[in-house]
This record gives sequence, C-alpha cells and structure tokens, in this order.
Amino acid sequence: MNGNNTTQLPLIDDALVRRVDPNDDLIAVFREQARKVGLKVTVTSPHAAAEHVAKLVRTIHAEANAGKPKVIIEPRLFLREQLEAALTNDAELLNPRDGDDTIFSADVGVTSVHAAVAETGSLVCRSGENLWRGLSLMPSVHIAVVKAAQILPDLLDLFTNLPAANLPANLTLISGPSKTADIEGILITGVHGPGQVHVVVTRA
Amino acid sequence: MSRTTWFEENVAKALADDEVRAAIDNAAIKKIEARAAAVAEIDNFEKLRDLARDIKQHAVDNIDRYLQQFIDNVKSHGGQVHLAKTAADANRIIASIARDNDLKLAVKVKSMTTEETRLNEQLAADGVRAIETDLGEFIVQLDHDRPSHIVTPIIHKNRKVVAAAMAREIGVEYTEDPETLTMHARRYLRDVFRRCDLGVSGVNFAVAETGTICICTNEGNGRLSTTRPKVHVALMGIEKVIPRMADLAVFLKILARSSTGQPITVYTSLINGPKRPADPDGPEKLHVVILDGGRRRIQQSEYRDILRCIRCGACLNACPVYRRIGGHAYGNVYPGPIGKLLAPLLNDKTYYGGLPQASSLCGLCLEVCPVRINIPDALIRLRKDQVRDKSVPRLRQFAFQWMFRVLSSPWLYRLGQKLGRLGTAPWADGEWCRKLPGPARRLTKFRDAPRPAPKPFRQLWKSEQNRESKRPARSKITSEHRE
Repeated sequence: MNGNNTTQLPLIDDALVRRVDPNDDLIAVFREQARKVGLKVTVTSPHAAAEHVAKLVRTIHAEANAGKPKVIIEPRLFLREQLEAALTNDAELLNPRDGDDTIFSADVGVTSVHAAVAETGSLVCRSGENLWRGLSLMPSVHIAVVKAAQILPDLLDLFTNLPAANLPANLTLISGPSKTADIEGILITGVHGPGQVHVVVTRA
Repeated sequence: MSRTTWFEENVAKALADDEVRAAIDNAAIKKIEARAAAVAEIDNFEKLRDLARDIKQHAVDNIDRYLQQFIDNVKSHGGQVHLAKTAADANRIIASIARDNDLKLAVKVKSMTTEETRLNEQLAADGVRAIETDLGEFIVQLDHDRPSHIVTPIIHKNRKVVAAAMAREIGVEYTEDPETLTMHARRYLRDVFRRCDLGVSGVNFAVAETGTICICTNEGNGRLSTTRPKVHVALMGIEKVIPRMADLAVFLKILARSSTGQPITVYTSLINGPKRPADPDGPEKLHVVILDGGRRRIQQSEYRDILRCIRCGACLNACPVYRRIGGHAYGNVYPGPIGKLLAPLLNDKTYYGGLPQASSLCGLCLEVCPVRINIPDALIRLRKDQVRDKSVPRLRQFAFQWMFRVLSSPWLYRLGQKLGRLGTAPWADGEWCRKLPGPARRLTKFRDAPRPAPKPFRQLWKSEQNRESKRPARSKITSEHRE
C-alpha cells in the first residue's frame, strides 16, 4: 500500500523539550514535583534509611488502627536485612515468592526503583529477576527507596537512555498515589493501586 | 418539511435534561481550568505542540514503514501480532485468543477502541465475561449505559445515579459519598482481579523503534489488568504508532496536561512483550491486535491530519456544543469536535451527516488541540463534500439554491424582503416573532426570531440621504460652533 511520503522525521531539540537542567538541584526539584502529584518524600542518609522506613510502617499501622501490618519487602532491596530487623516486632513479614495471593494480602510493599524523574516527580519501576510488578501495585501502601544518584532530570533523559536492545518486559512510571475523579470530578486516592506512596531518598 | 433526524432528536432530548447538562458543564469547566493552569507551567508549550504535531504527522504519513517496524519489534520481544481490517475482525481475533487459551473472565482497561468495536458484546456471545475495571467504565457497565466522554466516561452522571446503580447491581448499601462508592468498587473489583485470566487494554502510543506499548492510566486498574491475568491482549488503531522512544518525552508532556491538567498520568506503563523467563510475575502471553477499521481510508484521503489525534479529550471539554448536548447525542463512541470528524469518516458520511453541521466553527477545539488538528477547517471541508455528494437533506438543498438566486439578484432580494415583512406580520409580537408556522417553525423552536424591520436598510438609507440634501450645509454648523 502506498500512502507514504518522504517528510523528514523532526529532530527532538533538547533545548525545546527539556524542562529540567542536569545542573539543577535534582533532589530539590524531585521533592517539589513529587509533592505536587501526591507522593510523600523524605530525604535521609543511607544508614538511617531502614529505620526511617520502619518508622513509616509503624505510623501507618498506628493510623490504620488494625492488627500488625503485613509488610512485603523486595528480596534484593539493599536495606532489606536492616529493615527486617527493625520491623520484627512491629510487622508480619511476607515473602513475595509465596505468590500473587500473598502480595494481594499485603498492606505495605517496599521496593527499590530503576530510576526517578525530577521533572514529573515520577518513580520508575521495572520488571526483572526478583522484581515483582505487584509490590508497587497491590498493597495499599507503597514505600520506594530511591538513591539520590538515580534521579534523572527530565523525562527526556529517561527515554533517550533506555537500552533499546535490552528492555524489561515492563517499565512503569509511578507519579502519585492511585487516583480517580470519575464521580463528579471529585479526586479520590487509592482506587485500585496504592492510596499512599512514600519515597525515601538516600543521599550518599 | 423534512423529518427530524436521529441527531436532531438526540439533541432535543439532551437539551431538555437540565440535570445532565449541568453535570457535564461543571465537569468540563473544571477541566478547562485545570488544563489552562497545567499548560501555563510550560514555557514553550506552543513550540512543543508544533513538535508533537510534526512528529505525529510524519508518523501518519509514513504509517506503513513504522507499523512494520513496530510489528517486527513486538515479535522480537515474543509478542504476537494480529491485523484486523474491520471491527468485527478485531473482535473475532480476540474471541479466538480467549477460546484457544480457555480464558473465561476478562478484565478491561478503559479503551475507546474496544468501545468502537463493541468487543464486550462479542466476548459475551463467546462465553467470556468481560468486566470494565476503570471506575467510570465500571459504573457505565453496571448502569447498562454508554460512555459519554472519551476520558471521563460518566461525566453525565451525578453521584445519585452512581449510588443507585451500585446499590442495585452489586448489592452495596446506598450511599452518595464518592469515597465510599469508590471503595465499594475497589473491593468488588479486587475479587475480580484475583480470579481473572484475560486482560484487555487499549494503547496510547506504540513505539516503532522498540515495539513498546505505552499505556497511560490513573487508577491502577490498567497495571492490574496487564499484570495479573496470564494473557494480555492490547487493541490499537493503526494510527497509534510513533517512531521513537524519545518521542514519548514530547507526547507525555502534553497528553495529561491537555486531558486532565495533570503533569503526567499517575501510571505510565511501557510494555515490551510478555514476561521474561526470570520475571516473577506478569502475563505469559502478549497479543497485539492492530485495527484498521476505516483509518486506512482516512490516511489516504485529504483528512489524514485527523489521525494525529491522541484522544486527550481537550476539544470535548472546550466545545460549547458538547457542553450543551453531551456525548450521547453524537450517536457514536467518539463525541465532541473530533467525533464530528471521526464518526462520518470512520463510518458513514451520510448517516453522520448532521454532525459536521452542528458547529458554530468557533475554533476553541483547534485552540486546545495538543497536536493542532484544524478541526474547524476539516468540518468546513466535510460540509463541502456533503454539498458535492448531494447528501444534504433535500429541503436544505432547495433552500440554499433559492438563497443563492435571491442573493444574486437585486430585484428578487427586494421582493424577498417585502414578502418576509408581510409574511411574518401575523405572527409578530412587538419586535419579535416567537412562533413561526410551517417550515419556518424550527427557526423559532429554541429562540425568538427578530421581526423584519418595518423599513429595510436600503430605504432608510435613501430617505436619510434625501433629508441630508435638504439640511443646511455642514460647514456652517461647524463654523457656528467655533464662534
């Protein structure tokens, strides 16, 4: 079929498309944008991160006024062992290897990220070995641990640097808690995905 | 006198329903304001729109090349690709995927393309239960209704209608609290997600360079529907293809801003094939169904620009006609300004002939379109086609032929004025005619017609000139003033 012509594919002009400069204070930009879309961000040192996540779990637990929260931690998260130690008395720790039904039953999912984007306050989570898509999706609270060096300035930096030959089956940008405004335009969070998303940024 | 068409009946019905009109108008105005605020955040939004327009136009112009590249890359990730010429073909393909894999319970992500093909009906006929999981679409399905907006499907329903539908259909306690209603839906659909075996989604962008499907959602049902079931079927129109991954940076910056006023949707998923062997979760199979459904015909016509549409819904919100008559009146899955083009061009120019006429050509749709589709211009071209194809109602053709004659002949024009003045006299009430008889009845159906002036302008002009010539010379008056 011949409906094709030879117009040039326009180049993507960095100066036009980019909104966040790599020299900006990326932690500050990320924090501000993430706050705008409804993520709760704290910045901490790497060694205090586990205790900070544990504190979040305890607070959420106290607010929910229910039994011990069921917490599911990504197996290869760098602060997993510390976090498990900090939570032994305060949470019931679940293993994602027990399957989807276990992940469905969890109250809190704690994950790493592939990257974060300062421009939009987005977390970028990917699928892969030991990386469950369900952990950032099925529990009603998602806690993501982001290393400061993982924060990219702009969406452009994310999409121009993905390895075309070796893409994960799934790469998801998470920019806020699950939202709907379908009923009379009233904003409600936590409709299908997590109603709360916390981000702990570790500054090296 | 011509019979009223289905469209005119729909419009009359819609205009009579103040409650629905208020619901739509309120929601649309909120969205117009949210869009304006979000767009103002970007310094060079106008140039970004130009770039988005040029990229998408290039993709549409070279659609075969990019589609082929996309297809090859989906296959290289282990996905399967099916080409569907018609909506019925697409439905048959999806139903046979369900049959071959013994799938019985489908969860659906909001998708206008599956609305276009009426996929749910075909699946039901084949014994597959399809459940809409977007909150708005879920309520549409419970209420046996149709979506009336391409982004916010229940823009026409208030909370009372939602509450009644949920109480009646899924047996939850009646409440008008939107949050409680939403939580009822969450609980109900969580159970569905546990049991489902097929996930059906649409596609926002299909990246040729990598074979990536990009899906933009807010609620998380999109992610659940493409994570939990063992088979994921994505249905897309051929025009969804974009050349490069980097193009997503451009489109994602304008899509949600134009649509809901968000900087980006909550979830933006890039899907590259089914789950890899090492992945602990995700669908085992990915099928991509690519639908022509009349798009190829548009691509080869002078209307190919409209295939740039990224379905943000901004033109619906902006349109004064949409905000009065709502989405159902258009009699098609795509309402609003873009629907006035898509409905006749994808389907039938004669059946949908009323739609291109129902516009004041105010141009707001062009002003908000993120890819600068010149909708008013295309509407005018469609009207011209209608005249050329003689698909305008006979009475209207006749009326315009006479109008042409009258307007090009001074003596007929004067005669017409006289007749108009005399003819309306018995029906006039002061300066206005509130109700005219016969074929002119429809002129006064929704508004009063001004009564023709007792003296036409030409006559006034003439007598004014006569009076002027009898008055003293103007220079004298001014010199008097000076004294």
